[in-house]
Amino acid sequence: MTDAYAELHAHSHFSLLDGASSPEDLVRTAQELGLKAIALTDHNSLAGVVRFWKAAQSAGFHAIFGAEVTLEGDQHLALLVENREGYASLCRLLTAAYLMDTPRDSAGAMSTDAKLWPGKAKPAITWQMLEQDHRGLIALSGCRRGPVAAALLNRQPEQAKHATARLRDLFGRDRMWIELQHHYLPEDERLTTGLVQLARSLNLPIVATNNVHYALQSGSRLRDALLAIDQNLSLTEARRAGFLPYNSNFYLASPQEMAKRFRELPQAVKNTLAVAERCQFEPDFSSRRLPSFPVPSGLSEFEYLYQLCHQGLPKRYPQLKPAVLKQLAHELAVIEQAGLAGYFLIVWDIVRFSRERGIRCQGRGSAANSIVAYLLGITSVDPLAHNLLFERFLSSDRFTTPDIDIDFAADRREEVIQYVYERYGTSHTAMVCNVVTYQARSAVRDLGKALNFPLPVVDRLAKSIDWRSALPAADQILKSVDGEITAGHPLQMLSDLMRQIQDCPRHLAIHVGGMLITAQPLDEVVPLERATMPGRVVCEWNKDSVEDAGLIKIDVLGLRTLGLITEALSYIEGEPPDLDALPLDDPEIYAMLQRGDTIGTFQVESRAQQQMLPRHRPEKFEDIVVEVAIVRPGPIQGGAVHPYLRRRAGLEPVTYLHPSLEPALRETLGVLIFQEQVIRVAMVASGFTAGEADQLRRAMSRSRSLEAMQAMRDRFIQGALANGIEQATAEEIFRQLEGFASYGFCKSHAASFALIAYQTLHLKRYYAAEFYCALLNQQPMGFYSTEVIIGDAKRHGVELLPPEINQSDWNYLLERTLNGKRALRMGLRATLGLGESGWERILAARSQAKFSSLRDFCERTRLPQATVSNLVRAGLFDSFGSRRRLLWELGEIDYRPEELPLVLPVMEVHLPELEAGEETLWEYELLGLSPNGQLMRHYRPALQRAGVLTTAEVKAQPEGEYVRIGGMVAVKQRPGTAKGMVFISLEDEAGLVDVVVRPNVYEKFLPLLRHQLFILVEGVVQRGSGAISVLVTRAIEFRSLAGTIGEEKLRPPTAPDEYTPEYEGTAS
Amino acid sequence: MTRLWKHGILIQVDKDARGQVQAFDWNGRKRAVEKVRQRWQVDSDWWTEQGRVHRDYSAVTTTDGLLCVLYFDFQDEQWYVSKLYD
Repeated sequence: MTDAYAELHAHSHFSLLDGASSPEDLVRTAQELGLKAIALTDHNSLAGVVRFWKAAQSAGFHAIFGAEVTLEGDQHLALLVENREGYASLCRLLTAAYLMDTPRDSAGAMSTDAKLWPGKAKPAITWQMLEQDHRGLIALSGCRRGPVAAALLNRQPEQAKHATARLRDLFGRDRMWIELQHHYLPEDERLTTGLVQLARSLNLPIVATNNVHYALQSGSRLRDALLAIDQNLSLTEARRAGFLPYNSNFYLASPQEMAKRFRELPQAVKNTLAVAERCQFEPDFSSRRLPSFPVPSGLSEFEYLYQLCHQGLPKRYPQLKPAVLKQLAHELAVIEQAGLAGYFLIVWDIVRFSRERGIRCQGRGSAANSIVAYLLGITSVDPLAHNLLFERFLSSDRFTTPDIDIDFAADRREEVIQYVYERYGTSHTAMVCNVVTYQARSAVRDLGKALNFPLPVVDRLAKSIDWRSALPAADQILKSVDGEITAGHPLQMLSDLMRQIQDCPRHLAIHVGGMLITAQPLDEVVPLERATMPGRVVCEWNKDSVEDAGLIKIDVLGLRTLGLITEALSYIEGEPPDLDALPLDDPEIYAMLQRGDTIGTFQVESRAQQQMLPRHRPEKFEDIVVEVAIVRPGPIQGGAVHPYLRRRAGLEPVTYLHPSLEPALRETLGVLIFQEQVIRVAMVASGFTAGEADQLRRAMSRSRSLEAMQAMRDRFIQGALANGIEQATAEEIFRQLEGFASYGFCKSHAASFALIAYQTLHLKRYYAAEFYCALLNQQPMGFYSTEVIIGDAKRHGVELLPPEINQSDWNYLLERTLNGKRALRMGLRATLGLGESGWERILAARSQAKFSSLRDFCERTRLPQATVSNLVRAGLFDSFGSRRRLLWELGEIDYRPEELPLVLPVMEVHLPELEAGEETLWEYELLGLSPNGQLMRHYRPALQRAGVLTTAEVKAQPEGEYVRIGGMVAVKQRPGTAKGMVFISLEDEAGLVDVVVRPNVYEKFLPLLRHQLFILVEGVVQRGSGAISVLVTRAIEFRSLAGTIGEEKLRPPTAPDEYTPEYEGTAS
Repeated sequence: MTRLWKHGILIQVDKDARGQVQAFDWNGRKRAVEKVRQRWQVDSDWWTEQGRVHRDYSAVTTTDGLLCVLYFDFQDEQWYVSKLYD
């Protein structure tokens, strides 16, 4: 008989900082080894089960679900799910353990008090919990830390027998197995003998497992490193402290190897099949997804939805056309067939609540393809007017889980979340988790420490990495040293481990806004854990797992721009404009876009956008939609940008890879820009149904196995050939689709964002003071530092008034100046070291009477002298005298908290004036900027002598002119799509200009370009279709030409980061 | 007296079909293994300067009364005596 084996105890990397392989790797290896089945038994977690299930499903392999739970006393017990009831039991058990000791109020609601909230829990399942929830579960007695094995190893046979009997009595004789493991560890044989004796004496069956922690033996090194990281120790320290296993035998063993290890006990191996056969459960919840939505009596959910949609028609379509009713009928039919009426009602209800409370919101993503969503007020873009594709959202031939994402004003999103909790109950509602995985820098830091690299070396290595992903960083590290690196070299080890650790989960966090609402009690669907944030629980699944399990999440996202819009509208004197009803054809707005005047606006403000805008020259709303979508990695990597711009400018003809693609790509001049076009192209080129085409798009946009992609490709090419497209053309079309799909925006999403972009442009154009005031108060948001925004405000005629102790508020304020214009008064929140408590003391004193002098201020606020000194140096008391004099006076004022003032006369002294730039430096130090002007102005005389141009002068130079320019680094980027090019925006007193640095130049002048507050470069002016930049040929030490005014002490105000994301917003 | 060699003393062994030690040469004499008392494997220290330790240990008694710990080194595929209890 051939050997047969099913592995019933395996950990994936969702056993955080313990397991070293992905669920997919485990399934693949198990299948390659010829195992009959594999069980996933992560420590106290079902976070990996959906990925595990999906991998097994697509491989046609038998997956078993379970967990190795921690019992009180830190003992381990492996539990396998036999059926649906068992799965619910396991979810409840884990949830109960994670939520134990959660502080609650008298009504049972979880406390939101940060002082009471204990944060994340280390779960311990009590025997009482086990007694309550064990039905449908099969228990294996566990590893060496199990209650049975641990007692035997401690030579306590009676205790082992007692624990076994207790488990047997609880689970039942047919659900309790004595687990045998053989890893060639000391005392394996004694332990096995003891366990077998125990099994015989209690008449229990035995079963072999390998307590797998990595798919292949080579994974043991990563596991060793993870265990050391978990203990915050080096590997050597971890080994000495006994945290590392003896050997590397915790891999997936073949049936033959297991037969060899259990040569004397073949029944233990054979029994694995019997257990596996019994475990037949799949975590598919698609049949009952959402709770029922309360509808008016006499109506079904669908009928109510139908009614609401028709009620929305007059507002959205005052001139009703047949096409509208046709599309509505089509969508409603699909929604009814998919059983999703309740889903739309739930989302509609959330939006209704939000609007009633004055919380600005708007749907984004693929939902904007739906006329139903538009009529319900969930989205704001007319899908018919913009030729959007409903099938990108939901298709009739394949009911994939639809996704509705809604942006809410960020400062009020919490109210919406609390409403959802209240409406559906905490037992049916949870936030979706976000699996935080290792990337380049975190990998270097953690692995470097495990390998015992000195901390400064770890720090230097981490900072030197130019990549986000650990894979290319692993190569970069090897190139960072001269000479050959041998196999045992520490950097080689680090590099090897980095390759393995990429995408390994580090911890679970809360997703930015994903809320899961379920029909079944949530704790029967997925375990819930206490989050770090007070009052929050998070489910163990991320958004992909939720979707793959057939459940539906609603993204309740926070968007600061919506808060900005609300705030700006509140400042407008008189009737504010109805931004939702703006005609979208204002030439002033398009003029702004064409000159790249977009700082502070939504989606079109980044430097990449500003470079694109003068070349793209948007003329209508559809162009803004393209603009939002085109500056994305998908179109850039797909090589779409330049062909699109050239075709638009008439520099090259509009062509199609095949004539059949014209209808799908006509609107974007034959170039692939939107996700919907992937679907349309697949439909016309290869005869895919809408559902199949969307399936293809999804497969391309999520990491799928090479085999799965190959199957898709074959299907596509066959379809294309059948449609008369030549093989080479079909392959090229597929290549373009594949290159694009991962990172493209869907058009509906771009259109929703374009609408918000237009609204912010309108505010900036017609209500500049109000716009900038709201923008500054909503910081941090967007792309630019406060200083850059203020520079932009000034260039738009909005005056900045310095912070003033009797005038300023905590936030920025609008003040009417003598010239009748509204100006920005700086708030005190930016003042270093003041803090809200200090501000409250100032406010309390000032509400009695304005401050008449520095002494008056000190006596009435009793703020510490150091704080007052900062306020003086930042210029808040300038109306009372010079700063130097006031500082002198402060030293003379004798005051202490809660004591009566001792009045001493201030001595009259002659004080020298401050050095040039000294006040400015104080302001930069304390406020992060200078209200009186940009720091660069102090260097200008020296720079001018050295032939350094201002940004304004550079912009006036012709193409090809060789220039010298210096400035403060406002933004610095090295996007992954730019082949190592570095883009730096330099700011001076005249404005901003972009400089572009090729990789070889960047490397050559690295010390002068990286981590610098100021840089000075020479290069050639480029004027590509209106966008101006300088291509750098050389960098010069800034101070060698500009001198110094003491700025060395300042930190870069914008903290220029190599990794500033170029592409803001979230693809959906 | 117990003797312990950190890096082991190279020995020649006779094995059975399953790879178990049957006899080994020690002090010029062939010692027949009476029983393998315990067997375990070690894979550690791969990160150290000294390098990886990857060994298959057997604690054996010999027919002439020795109790020793032998190991097979997976890296150089040689057998060694690690410990000897007189």
